[in-house]
Amino acid sequence: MPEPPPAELARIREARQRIRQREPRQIAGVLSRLAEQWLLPSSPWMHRAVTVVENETSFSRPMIEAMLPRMIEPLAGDAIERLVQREIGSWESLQRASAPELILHVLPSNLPAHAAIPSALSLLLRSAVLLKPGRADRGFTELWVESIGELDRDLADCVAAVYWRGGDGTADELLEAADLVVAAGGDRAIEDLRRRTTGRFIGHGHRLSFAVVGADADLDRAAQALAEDVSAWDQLGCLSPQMCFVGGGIERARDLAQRASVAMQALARALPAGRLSEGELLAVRDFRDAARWRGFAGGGQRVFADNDPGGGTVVLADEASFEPTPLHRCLRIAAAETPDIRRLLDRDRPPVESAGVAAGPKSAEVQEQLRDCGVPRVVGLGKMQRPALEWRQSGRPRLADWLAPPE
Amino acid sequence: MAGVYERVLSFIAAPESDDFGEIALAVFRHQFESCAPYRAYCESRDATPGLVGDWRAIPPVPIVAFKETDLCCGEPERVFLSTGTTAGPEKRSRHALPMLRLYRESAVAGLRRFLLPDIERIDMVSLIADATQQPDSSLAQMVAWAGEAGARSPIVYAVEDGQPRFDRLVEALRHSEATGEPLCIFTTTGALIHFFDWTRGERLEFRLPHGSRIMDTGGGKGAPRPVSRKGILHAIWSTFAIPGYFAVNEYGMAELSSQYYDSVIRDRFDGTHRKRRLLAPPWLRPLILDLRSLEPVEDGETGLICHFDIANAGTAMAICSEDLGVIEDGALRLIGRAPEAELRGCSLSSAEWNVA
Repeated sequence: MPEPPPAELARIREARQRIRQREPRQIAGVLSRLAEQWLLPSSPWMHRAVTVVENETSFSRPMIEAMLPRMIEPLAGDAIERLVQREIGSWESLQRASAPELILHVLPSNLPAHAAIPSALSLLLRSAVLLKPGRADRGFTELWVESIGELDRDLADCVAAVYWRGGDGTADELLEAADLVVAAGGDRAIEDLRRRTTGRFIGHGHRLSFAVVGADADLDRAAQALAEDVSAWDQLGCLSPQMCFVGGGIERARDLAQRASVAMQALARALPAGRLSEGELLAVRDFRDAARWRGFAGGGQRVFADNDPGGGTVVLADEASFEPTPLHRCLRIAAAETPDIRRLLDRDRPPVESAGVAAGPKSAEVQEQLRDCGVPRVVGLGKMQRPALEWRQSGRPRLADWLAPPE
Repeated sequence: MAGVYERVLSFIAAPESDDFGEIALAVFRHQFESCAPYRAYCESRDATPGLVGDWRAIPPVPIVAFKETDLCCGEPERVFLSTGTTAGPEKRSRHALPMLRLYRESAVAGLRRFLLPDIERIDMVSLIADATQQPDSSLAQMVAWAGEAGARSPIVYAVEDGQPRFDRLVEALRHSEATGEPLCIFTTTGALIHFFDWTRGERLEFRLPHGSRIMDTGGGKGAPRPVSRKGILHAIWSTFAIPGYFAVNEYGMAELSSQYYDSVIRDRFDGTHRKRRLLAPPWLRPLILDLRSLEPVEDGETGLICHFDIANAGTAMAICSEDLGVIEDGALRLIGRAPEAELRGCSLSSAEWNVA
């Protein structure tokens, strides 16, 4: 991926002039068609992307084949129109809106294919786009930009993929050039970028997600849904639940832990875990050992896991908390009723992004209570890893946030 | 129970016999019978005294076990705490000893074997705190015992309220120069590097008499900047005029009762000329385990260092550390800390939580 010289910046800015007068509705049509082409079973783009992502990341091929479409699906159908109506009001309002000339997206490094949605929505605003992917997401990003070009040369000309390593001067040049920088990543990285950005900056820092299984939920169904949400992308996404609070007492929590472990191990056969680095392996082992030794010492902790460190670890904890796990399908389950969860949220103020709820007939009520506590996204368990385009990351609107603030 | 401890003490006092494996299995049986959490752990691995016939098959406990429970085969006489390895809220290890004498005899015998084999008594100065000031530090206790066993006069502690007192160290160094009496310096590697930086600013150099020596320990923890071992040996020579063959690095852990030392003083004493390597006393043996499978690896292959320290007879003899090493020419080469998990962008993980 070439580092963009000033000429490259000039190129995408100039290309932007060619799309300024186009109708957003027409651009949305192109972008939806693009997504749909990618999602066709015979899509050569998707086929190439799976191989590229397999080469660049540690995820297993079946996982990539199953999950990569989900990074593009939200753009398909009439999702863009619904987003525009919800956030902007109408196509006409969007046409009149004052959009940034150049948006730089610093994409998170935890998952691949993060480039698709931010680039599409920036083009919808008729902004020029710089995409800075994570180290292991460069191949997909290039492929995505190439695929836009096949459908609409003018739109593709407005997009450039860039890459920098920490410490080189490229970053500062680009951060200065952008009218808007949208960045997602770890808290320290976000703060560093915020400090170095001269224009507008929108940062999304560390986030975690959790699951709630109510006292009246069907445990088998909840265990299966929980296993799917935990196992997707090996739990490396910020929408992956790391802890699960179970209503109805410790015996139900134990029961769910056992069933979730069985479901996770079954899923690990269909969607094998990616290769863990040595550091990740030790972190998972440490997570298991700490819980086991608390159990050996007489505590109520129990570990449900087989020998495969990436195949799933469920720890039954004797106390509910928002302490994160090492990821890689490591889940902590504890008994807690909704008021306990609300107290914990209120006391610890964890940086929560999403909650998945399975609570039988009371599900809607529990979801409402969690939203009242400030959880930005509350969905049914099993749907945590399928965010719609309207997902308000960190509780903020997607498109409306990027438009220039009113004078 | 007393029988096992006495057997270990006898072996430390006269380790010429080939009994390590046999004693290790006796210690394992004792720990299995006397420490309920350890027994539960061994049973979970189907490793009971009846089934384990080789010391290498004794289940090693992970370091995290010392953070979650007291691995103690009786009422503790004394508890030492680790210093922790990160700035985060990580729990510290507790090493609760039911028989402090085991640690004392092992530590003193190790010091005598690797640091003071050639001299009965020597003046001592320490940049490591006095044990009365830091009663939960096993290192401070070891230095205090070194003083009891081998100091010509009371140890000079060049530390006050946890802060180094370089003036006191300079005084001890000048006294040694003036009297011609060799001096033994105890220090953490971090404090030593601070002292090097300070002496450079003050334009100070010392010419200690022959036989002076230094023991540093603790890796780069607390150091103002990273310095290679070669760089440290060079600075020891240029600052103190202590030659490399009297400069010993010690590698120990709060969870162990025995320590590894550089071989140089011992080799010189034995009249052998071999390159510097890390040696254990006969009652401590390392075993290198594959990081993924936790199975022993061949000599020459890198892995996690597992320590079998029979002086830990009252706590946990077999410990799987978080350090990487390799066995070369029958000696341990320390490589460093095992890698940590990568940080994962916007997903908050325990790796990020622990350093927050």
